[in-house]
Amino acid sequence: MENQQLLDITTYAGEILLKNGAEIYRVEETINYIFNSYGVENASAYILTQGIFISYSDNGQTYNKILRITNSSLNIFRINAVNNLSRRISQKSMTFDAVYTELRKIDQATIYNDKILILAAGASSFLFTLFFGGDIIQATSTIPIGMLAQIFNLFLIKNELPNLLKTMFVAAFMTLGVVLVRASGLVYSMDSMIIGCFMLLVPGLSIENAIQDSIRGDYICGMTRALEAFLIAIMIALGSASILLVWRLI
Amino acid sequence: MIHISLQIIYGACASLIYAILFQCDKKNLFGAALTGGFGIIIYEIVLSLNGSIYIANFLAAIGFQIIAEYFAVRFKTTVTTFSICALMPLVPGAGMYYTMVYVINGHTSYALMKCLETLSVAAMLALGIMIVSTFARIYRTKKRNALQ
Repeated sequence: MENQQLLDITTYAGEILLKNGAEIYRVEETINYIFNSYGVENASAYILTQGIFISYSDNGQTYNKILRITNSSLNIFRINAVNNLSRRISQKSMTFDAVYTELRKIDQATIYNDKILILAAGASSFLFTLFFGGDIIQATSTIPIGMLAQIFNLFLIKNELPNLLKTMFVAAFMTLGVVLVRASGLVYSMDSMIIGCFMLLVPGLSIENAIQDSIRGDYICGMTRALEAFLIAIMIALGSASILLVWRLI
Repeated sequence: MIHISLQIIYGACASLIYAILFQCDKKNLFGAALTGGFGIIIYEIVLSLNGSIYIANFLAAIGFQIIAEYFAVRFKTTVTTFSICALMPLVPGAGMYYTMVYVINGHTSYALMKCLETLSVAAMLALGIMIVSTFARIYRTKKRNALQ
């Protein structure tokens, strides 16, 4: 019973970390840290971007658990919270139930709600349009596009669309918005506006994790992440190109 | 000069926005903006000194990663918190866009050139981050061993 619970909390901690975009080494270290805190020395955890494999033996009995992880997006707050929790466990022993309830709480935690995220998306497109050389009219007209795209994005996330498809649809949506603004005659060039909106979608997380995984020797995950970054870029281009080609025809 | 300072302000604000989008803790928001701003400062200065886009990205990555490693210790949090928010404004989104535009216009050779440039810029950013975090790791292990 105890062993089962220990397995449950370690995989749960690992799951939260992986789902929210933590690096492989961090997941591995956290799991080993929790095991060590409860006096299990021979545990071994093998982590991939898409799954967790844990195994250890106690009194001649082997315990193991495999968990499949889908979809990851970045939530730094949850990563830091699990990190701190694992440190607290090692300082003073907590009961399994207490740890489990803490993890449940972390799994649901967000600091900024959807409204703030939508406003932030508008501000991001505004700033990046200026950054890439747009004028103030272009920048202002991207604010509603960024906000609507974020609403669409959150809607697609709720419907559990695969990451790549989601990126393509949102990119197409953004381009459509910019094309409509251009068609209304308000602006004369679309380049900086489209780039400004796209910066919401660029695969920064994948690039960062590809680097961090590769330098610590998790080559499989590093390559997976690099491929993911490449595919996301292609999907952005595809989504946008489909709209632009239709716009040229009209 | 005004142009550069405006770019820096936009970059720093963009990093702050990303920190919000990535759900950073409120006490880390300011650090994220500073880290991002520092990256853009180096990037813009190197470009204004007629440096190539590759070296500008490389040095910017080194710069913001050093700051990120420092803030991570200072604020007792993970390096990624600051590093990823600073990385986002430098990710070559414009390169991706122009590659796509050249492809749909049928300028294949321009598209290939732009595509290579975009990939190289991403590789340069990766290299910069890699170098600093490797050294930071060595430094940390040495310090831990010295404490024991």
